[in-house]
This record gives sequence, structure tokens and C-alpha cells, in this order.
Amino acid sequence: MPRFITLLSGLALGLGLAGIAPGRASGQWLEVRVGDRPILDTAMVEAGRAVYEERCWFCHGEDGDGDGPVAPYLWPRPRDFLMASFKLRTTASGELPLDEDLYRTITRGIPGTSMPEWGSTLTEEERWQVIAYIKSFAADLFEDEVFDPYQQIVERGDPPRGGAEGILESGRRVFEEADCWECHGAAARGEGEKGPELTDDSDFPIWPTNLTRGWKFRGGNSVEDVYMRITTGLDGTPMPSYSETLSEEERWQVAQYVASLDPEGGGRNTEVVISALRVDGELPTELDDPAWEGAPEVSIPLTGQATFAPRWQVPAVTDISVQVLYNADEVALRLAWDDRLADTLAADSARAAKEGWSADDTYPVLYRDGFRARGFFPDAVEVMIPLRHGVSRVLPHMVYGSSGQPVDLWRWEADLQYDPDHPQPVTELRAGGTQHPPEAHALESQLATGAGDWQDGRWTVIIRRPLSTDHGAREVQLESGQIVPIAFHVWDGGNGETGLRMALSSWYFVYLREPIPLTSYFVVLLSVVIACVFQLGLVVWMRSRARRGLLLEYGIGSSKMSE
Amino acid sequence: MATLQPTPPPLDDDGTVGGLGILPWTAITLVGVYAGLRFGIPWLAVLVGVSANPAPVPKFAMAIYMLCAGLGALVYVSSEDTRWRAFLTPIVQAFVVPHGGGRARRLLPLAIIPLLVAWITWGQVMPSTQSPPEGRIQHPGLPEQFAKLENPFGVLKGPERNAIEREGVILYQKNCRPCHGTKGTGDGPLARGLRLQPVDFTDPGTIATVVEQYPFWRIQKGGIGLPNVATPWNSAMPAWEDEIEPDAIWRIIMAEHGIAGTEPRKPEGSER
Ligand code: HEC
Ligand code: HEC
Ligand code: HEC
Repeated sequence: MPRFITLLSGLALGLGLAGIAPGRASGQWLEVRVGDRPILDTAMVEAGRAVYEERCWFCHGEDGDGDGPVAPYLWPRPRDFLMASFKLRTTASGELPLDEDLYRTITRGIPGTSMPEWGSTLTEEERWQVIAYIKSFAADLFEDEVFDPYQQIVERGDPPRGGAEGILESGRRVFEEADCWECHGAAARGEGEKGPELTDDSDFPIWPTNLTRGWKFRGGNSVEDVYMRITTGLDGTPMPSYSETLSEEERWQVAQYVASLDPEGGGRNTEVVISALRVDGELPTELDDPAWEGAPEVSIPLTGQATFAPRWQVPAVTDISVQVLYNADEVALRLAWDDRLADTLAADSARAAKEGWSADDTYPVLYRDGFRARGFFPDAVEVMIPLRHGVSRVLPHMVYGSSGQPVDLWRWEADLQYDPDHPQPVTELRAGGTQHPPEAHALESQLATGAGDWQDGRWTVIIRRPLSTDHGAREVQLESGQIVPIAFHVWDGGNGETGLRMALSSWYFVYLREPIPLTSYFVVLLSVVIACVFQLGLVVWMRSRARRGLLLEYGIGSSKMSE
Repeated sequence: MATLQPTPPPLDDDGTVGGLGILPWTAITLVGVYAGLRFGIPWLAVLVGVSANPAPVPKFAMAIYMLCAGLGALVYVSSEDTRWRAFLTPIVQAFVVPHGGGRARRLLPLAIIPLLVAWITWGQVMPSTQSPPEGRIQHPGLPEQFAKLENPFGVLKGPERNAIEREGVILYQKNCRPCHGTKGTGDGPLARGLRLQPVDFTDPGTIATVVEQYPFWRIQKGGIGLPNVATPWNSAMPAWEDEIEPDAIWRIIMAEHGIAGTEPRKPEGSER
């Protein structure tokens, strides 16, 4: 058997593995193709029960009450089917969904939540069956003709055509005048002032969507889909229907504006190497110094730390943008990420130890008694670099290394940034595994400095550190020309994140790119010259052979050759 | 001085394929191999699912493959006299007989070799932002002490088996779903940010082809338990030994096959 596995591995190695996941482009909700709706009779309900009890019950609950064994670990919570309140519909606010609406949702899944797509697993028939079954949880409503959703379908014309520029501008005006910004924020990153107090119909906290992250919209971010959400509202959430308050034209305009906000269009960077730019003279100390514009920007996807308990399934931050500059002495990173609120209070340290470094279950139960830690932890960001990095391919483990292979951390914390008693907000720490929290370096080894600022739902932070130090192998030493492994950790304090409850990245690499030395150009030039000389020699030699009639077989020769 | 005049090559059509000479065909083949290595393999790896994004073939591997392709082509064209001649003829003619026509037309063939040399040396001496090679083995050998373990539920049938699987489903959906996904397809909500993607259990290359003891080892010892050939440092796979009892791990393994719709593989010789 081991032989078999070795063989397999050889194959796998030959193919060369590892890489970043490309942004999975899930289609839009309204684009899901829906076939003819069959009659959902009792036979269908019974067949649907079998599907449900294989595929759905552990989240949505055996009784459809949204409280399956997995539900306490999820946010947003699975839908409670007894309430018969659905977010994604083509029917008016507060009405039941069409069967076709449920079909679309089940086929496509709900992005940004744990609700998976079932289009690739369940047959069309099975999907209709399970719809029949989940409707039976609220049979009294669905069977009452008074509530017939097919009488409540909202009108949807075609999006207005014409000058795109004008429409976006009017859309932005509607966004302002209809007070969308009160929840979604002026910068549309979900940073509006009403955000922190919002709850859904089951009293769980809910955040207004960050509208610049179109791939996380529950129902897709095509213009048509956004128009539909604004028209119908998302039932069960504070997101209202605007069918009464905005004209159809205004709804199309603001939908067009919202759909244009995702700068990446769902696509994501797949770079593994961040190119650092070398500058002569001083590195910028200001967050918005124009020198940063020259540095290539890489957006790195983050995920919840789930390798060691306490695991974290609901990280608030999903991407961090990274730029690196360096000069002869120092390296500087500029990091930026979306965060709805600036959490700048100092950590409640007893709480941080309890919630961030110990666990009584494999995953924390979210909202125990409907409650989630907020206002106890500061926002923070951290850069991780192996203490020893060199030619060896072997890296420390991606979550804080191990005792044999420690990592160094340069951590910026928001509370220190705003604490006048603190000299500066960046601390250097050392970690060797996850048994203990990382420990701060001794004072004489605290060389990193930095600054950060929060604006319109986005943090921007600079971290600087000397390339090399006087302490040799006891500290991270960097050199121009190196490719250095690097990883990033982000905490959103307001989301209850501290310690191992954090968003992290896999290993990436920073390339301290040197300007191309003149000798390189010279080598290329030289090689061309040599090639030319060689070729010239070849030509001369061949011609002489040709003249001697030795190349006749190649069609070269002449009747006058004998001359 | 004698004027050098081309006479038609004393060749039949042997050296041509589809109207193109053997030389252009060789060139096209080599360019094709290059393109395949440069773009084809990375994308193929994504398509068949061994890699989640196109990771470039390392430089040194490219060099070796191209060398092999070049030598292969040389062996092929020189293996037969007529073919060899058909191959050399256009080269010799380009070198020796400046065709009529403009200057550019005469110099162009002569520029090909120096340009090729410039391009190759440029690629070699200029710094590139290619990441260090990250080839890895997904399935290193099973450590000895795990090979003898036995699944205590393997013999169960009917309702007893269903009850065990149901417990396994809950354990799986609670603990493994965030990464490996509700359906075992490796696309759980946390997978997006991981460069080394969680294993897709529906892929015939994973749990369906290894013996049951294999996932047991991997679940207990996790990513950090892997040998260096399998790049443990890139693996987010937890070591569950302190949190999930051996019995519960077997329950998960029983359930996994149902979740992913695969059949467990029997150990070698178990039929005997
Ligand atoms: C891993 C857990 C999980 C599983 C398994 C799951 N769901 Fe869900 N489902 C959710 C969550 C979470 C939501 C709520 C998402 C939200 O509120 O944005 C949801 C929402 C829904 C909705 C409501 C959509 C709306 O418009 O509000 C439907 C319908 C649904 N699920 C059907 C199903 C069906 C049918 C299955 C089984 C085939 C299933 N789900 C399996 C987690 C799950
Ligand atoms: C009272 C607060 C509030 C106001 C005002 C508000 N929204 Fe929302 N909106 C929300 C919340 C909360 C959600 C998140 C729902 C969820 O997570 O399921 C949301 C979600 C959305 C979504 C995402 C839909 C999806 O598919 O996920 C869009 C688009 C949107 N809002 C647009 C708007 C526009 C445009 C306006 C103004 C015309 C507006 N919202 C006004 C609270 C609000
Ligand atoms: C934090 C994310 C994460 C969680 C949680 C997780 N895994 Fe994994 N798992 C991975 C990754 C990434 C890999 C691929 C790398 C590797 O082989 O270590 C993997 C690989 C595996 C493999 C190896 C499969 C093979 O064929 O090589 C098995 C088996 C496995 N996981 C089972 C489980 C089980 C069972 C659970 C739940 C008890 C679980 N995993 C939880 C991320 C995770």
C-alpha cells in the first residue's frame, strides 16, 4: 500500500501544486435558469423530507426552526423556516416567496454565508422536492390563498439605457437623498452610523452590507439583482423595501450606482510575490505620501484562523491590501483594509486571555444568549516573518510557527495608536506555536515603528523596521535582493476578535527587488555580440563550402561552379 | 567571383508536411511545447483540480523540459538522411544565398539566432518575481503505526451503521465543513483565503483511493504532522487528536464517504 501512495505522490509532484484560489465567480441570482415548476403535492413533500434529512437538517434543524446542531457556530444563522420570512424574493415586501425564488436560492447558495449552492449536488427534481418540504414547515401560510405570492410579484421593467456616466451620478444622488448612507455609510463600506445598533428579526446583530464587496451580496450584484433587492427589501432584516419611497427610475439609478462599486468586479489578485520597490533616500512616514503610489499594490485574501482552537469562522476582514517600499536601511509596509468601526479601546486583558487563547469547544458558540463581545478588544494588524528565512524551502507553520521554528511579528494596535502615553503603536513579538500568546521582545529589540488612521470605514497603517539589527540570528535580518516569506493577521475588535480569533493569510513572499544592475544589460549585449560573431563565422564558412561546390545537396551550387 | 544561384533542392516532398517544410514544423512544435509548459500546465492543474490557481512551472524545470524537447527534435530530424537535408536546406540557403528582395528580407533570417540568444539570456539574468518552487506531495506514505489500526465500525450494517454515520455527519458538519465544505468538495467558507486548498473529498484522487487508515492519520496529526515533502507549513489542516476521540474520528470517516458520495478503498490483500 505505501508503494501505491508513493506512486500517486510522484504523479502529484510531477504536476506541481499549490496556488491561490481564484475568486469563484458565482452567477447572479436572477440569472439562475428555472425550469417548469412541477406540482408540489404530498408525494413531493415526502420525497423532499428525505433530501432535507440528508442535506439540510444539521443547519436548518430537524423541525425547520433554524436551530440544527451546527447553527450555534454560524453567523448569519440558518433560516428559520417556521417564520416563512425570506430575504431573496421577487414578491413585494413582507410577502411569501415564489417557489421559483426558493429554487434560485437553493440552486445558487447564499454568498458570504454558510448556505452552500446545491445546483451541482441535487437534481432539479430533488430541489423542487425539498422546496415542497420546507414550505410544509409553514403550511398554514403557504396554503392560505390570501397570502398567495403569485399575486404579489413585483414589476420589473428593463434597466434604463443611456449615458452611463449620468446614471451613476444620479444614482449617487439617490443614495444620498434616500439616506442609504445612514446604514451603508458615505463610502458605502457599511460604515454608516446606524450599523452598530441593527438587529435582524431574531434579534441577532446584523451589519449593513459593505457595498464595495459585490461578491458577498446575498443575491448577486448585477444591476437587475440590486434593483430587485431595493424594490423588495430583504425580509427579516433592517434593509427596507423602497418600492413606495423611490420611483422606478430612481431605483434603477441607485442600483446602477451600487453595482458599479465593486472595484475588483469579484476577480482577485493571484500574485504570490509582493514586489517591494527600492527608493533612494528616506522612506515616507505619512500615510498618504505620494511615494506610495509607485509601489505595486497586492490584495491578499484572508480567512478565519481555524487550525487551532479557539477557531474563528466569522472573520470580519476578508482582504488586506499591501504595499512595500525599502531603502538601504529600512523597510516600510503600507497595509489597508475595510473595517466598519474604529475600535480603539485597550483590550480587556482577562477577557482577551479567556476568549482568545483558550476554548471549551472546537469553535466558539457565537451569540451565546444573543450576545457577542463588542467594545472589549482593539483593532490590530500584524506582519509575520520567519525568524530564520534563507535559502531553505522549509518554512515555519503558517499559524505562528512552532517552538523549533519561531516567527517574528510586527504588530500595530489601534489602542496604542490613540494612547498619548504610548511612544508608538507597533510592537515586535516572537511566537513559537500556539500554546502561548506571542511574547514581546525586550525593549532594546523593539525597533519597529508605525502609524495608522481610520477613515470612512477603512484602516491605513504603516509599519517600518530597520532591515538589519545588531542582534544577529536572534532577530529577523533582511537584505536587499531577498525573497522573504510573509503573512498577515488582522483583528476586528468590534467583531469580538482577539488572540487566535483572527483573520489570517497563508504564506506569501516579499521580494526586495533590486534595481537591475548595469552588468545584466552588458551580459545580454555580450551574448548577442557573441552570437552574431558566431553566425558570421558560420556564414563565411558555408559560403566557402558553397563555392567549392560542397553544398550541392542543399540545392546550392551553380552551373558556373567549375569556373 | 561565382554568383551563387539556387537550384531547386534535389528532394521530393518527403520532408514536408501539409505543405510546410520540416523546419517550420520543428519551430512550431518547440513553440507549442513552450506555450504548453508556460500556460497549458498551470491551467491544466487548475482544471483537474490539483491546484487552485495557475502556479507557474519553475524556471529550472522549464529549462530542462525545453532542452529535452530541443534534443528530441534534433534526434528526430537527423534520424533520416532526407529529413535531415530537408531540415538544413532552408537554413543553409538563408545563410548562403541572400534571396532577392529587399534588404530586410535578406537580413531577417540572420537576425533570428541573435534575437533568440538575447531573449534567453535576458530571461536568465534579469531578476524575476517568480515565487520559490512549491511542488508538494499530497499523499506521502502512511506512517507504520497507523497501518494496523482497525475501524471499529467497519463491520456494522443497516440501522446501526446509519446511527454511527449520523453522528459522524454532525461531527463533520461542525468541525470540518468550514474548510472542506458541506458537501466535502473542499470549498467551505474558509477555503477562499487559503493558498493550499482544503482537500476535495469527491475528487477520486483523495479518500476514495487511500485506505481508511490514511484519513485517520491525517485527521489526528493534521497539517503539522506531514513530512516536509508535503509542505506542512502551508497546511491549515488542524491536528484533531486532543479534541476528537479516536472513536469519533472513525465516525467522521464513516460519514465522509456518504457526504462525498465515494466508496472506501479496501487494504491490499483484504480479499484473501
Ligand atoms: C451549512 C449550513 C447550511 C446548510 C447545510 C443548508 N443551509 Fe440553507 N441557509 C443557511 C444559512 C446560514 C442561511 C441564511 C443566510 C442569510 O441569512 O443570509 C440559509 C438560508 C436558506 C434559505 C433562505 C433563503 C432566503 O431567501 O432567505 C433557504 C430557502 C435555504 N437556506 C434552503 C436550504 C436547503 C433546501 C438546504 C438543503 C438542501 C439548505 N438550505 C442547507 C445554512 C445552511
Ligand atoms: C436601516 C438600515 C438600512 C438602510 C437605510 C438601507 N439598507 Fe441596505 N442593507 C441593510 C442591511 C442590514 C443589509 C444586510 C442584509 C443581510 O445581510 O442580509 C443591507 C443590504 C443591502 C444590499 C445587499 C443585498 C444583498 O443581496 O446582499 C444592498 C444592495 C443594499 N442594502 C442597498 C441599499 C440601498 C441602495 C439603500 C438606499 C436606497 C439601502 N440599502 C438602505 C440596511 C439598510
Ligand atoms: C482550517 C481548515 C480545515 C479544517 C477545519 C479541516 N481541514 Fe482537513 N484539510 C485542510 C487542508 C488545507 C488540507 C490539505 C492540506 C493537507 O493535506 O494537509 C486538508 C486535508 C485533509 C485530509 C487529507 C486528505 C488527503 O487525501 O490527503 C483529510 C483526510 C482531512 N483534511 C480531513 C478533515 C476532517 C475529517 C476535518 C474535521 C474533523 C478537517 N479535515 C478539518 C483544511 C482543513
